[in-house]
Amino acid sequence: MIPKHPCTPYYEWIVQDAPLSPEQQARLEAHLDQCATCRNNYQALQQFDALLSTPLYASPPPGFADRVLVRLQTYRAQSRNRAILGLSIGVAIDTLILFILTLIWASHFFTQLHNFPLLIDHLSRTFHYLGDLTGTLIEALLAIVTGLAHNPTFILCLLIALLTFGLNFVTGLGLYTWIRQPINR
Amino acid sequence: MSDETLWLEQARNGDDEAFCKLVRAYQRPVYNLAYRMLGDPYEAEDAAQEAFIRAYTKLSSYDPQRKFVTWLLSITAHHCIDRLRRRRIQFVDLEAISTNNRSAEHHPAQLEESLIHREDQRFIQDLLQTLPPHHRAVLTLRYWYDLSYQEIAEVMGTTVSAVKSHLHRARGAIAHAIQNTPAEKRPFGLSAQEESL
Repeated sequence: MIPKHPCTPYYEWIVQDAPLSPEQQARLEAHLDQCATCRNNYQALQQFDALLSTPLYASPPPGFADRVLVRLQTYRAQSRNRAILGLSIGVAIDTLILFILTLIWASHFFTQLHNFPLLIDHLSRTFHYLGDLTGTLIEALLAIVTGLAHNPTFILCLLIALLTFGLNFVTGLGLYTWIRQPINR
Repeated sequence: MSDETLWLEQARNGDDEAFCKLVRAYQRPVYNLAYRMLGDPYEAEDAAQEAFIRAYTKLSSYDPQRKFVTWLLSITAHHCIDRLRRRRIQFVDLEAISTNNRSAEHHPAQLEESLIHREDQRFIQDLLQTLPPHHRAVLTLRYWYDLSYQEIAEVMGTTVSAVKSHLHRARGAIAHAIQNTPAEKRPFGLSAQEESL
């Protein structure tokens, strides 16, 4: 702890890192003649300043720059590994989310199927009239979309699925970029 | 375009050799600051290396209007302050440090000091270790790097008045620590001067 010095302003003048005016210097010297504590502080800092008049620099051992370079390469390799791990976990989580959503969506779809006679009709026609497969499938898909467009669960699942697919795509692309990147750059 | 600007540009573009040149150019001030703040050559080397790595990863955010060395010292000072906080170093008695100064005892060759100055330097280093991290940083930047208050404030990310306050308190603490140091542990000049009073 820094002691509270009773000799104001002399203590401040002693410790301040700036030259005193001639008038302040004269007052301080007069005070130092009378006050042993301030005199000791003053002498201590005079000596400290003298020791620091030509401060010596500590230098690192030879080969420092090379060691920094090695560390930089290690850092890059570790960053790359961390990124790959992170992206892999991201892709795995995305895939899991997508899978779960698909299950929810599919189960919801099949439980709601009886509510859409038109859809059932189209699907059955699809199976029966393979010759009209393409057209009928489009009609069936349109019926699904029309039938489920007002279903909040469907809309929510669709949005989350699209979002997850987007995230999957971005993380996959990032992963691919990282893997292709050389380790030193 | 100066060498430094060129190296910076090349380093930003991934040229390791250019970055190495920057390291060679500034290794001494960075290492010295780390050593003065941490007081241990091994830890100083580690901190200085880490400071350069951090600088490398932040090169894209470096503002060329700012002096590169100031920016680098800023990274170093903050990193050392973080380390000191982690170490939870509190105010340690000068005597305790003197008797347990493994850095100076075991690795004198890492300091480019002449034998004449070694005792003085060790004493100064011991004094620095008695200060809180911010005071230590400000004092080092002021006396080893001769930075202005404004420059120190930029390095430390603080105000000029805060720098003056840190410096004032640091000098007060130094005066206090010197007076509390047994005469036999002080450099001979200091003891002799006091005796002559």
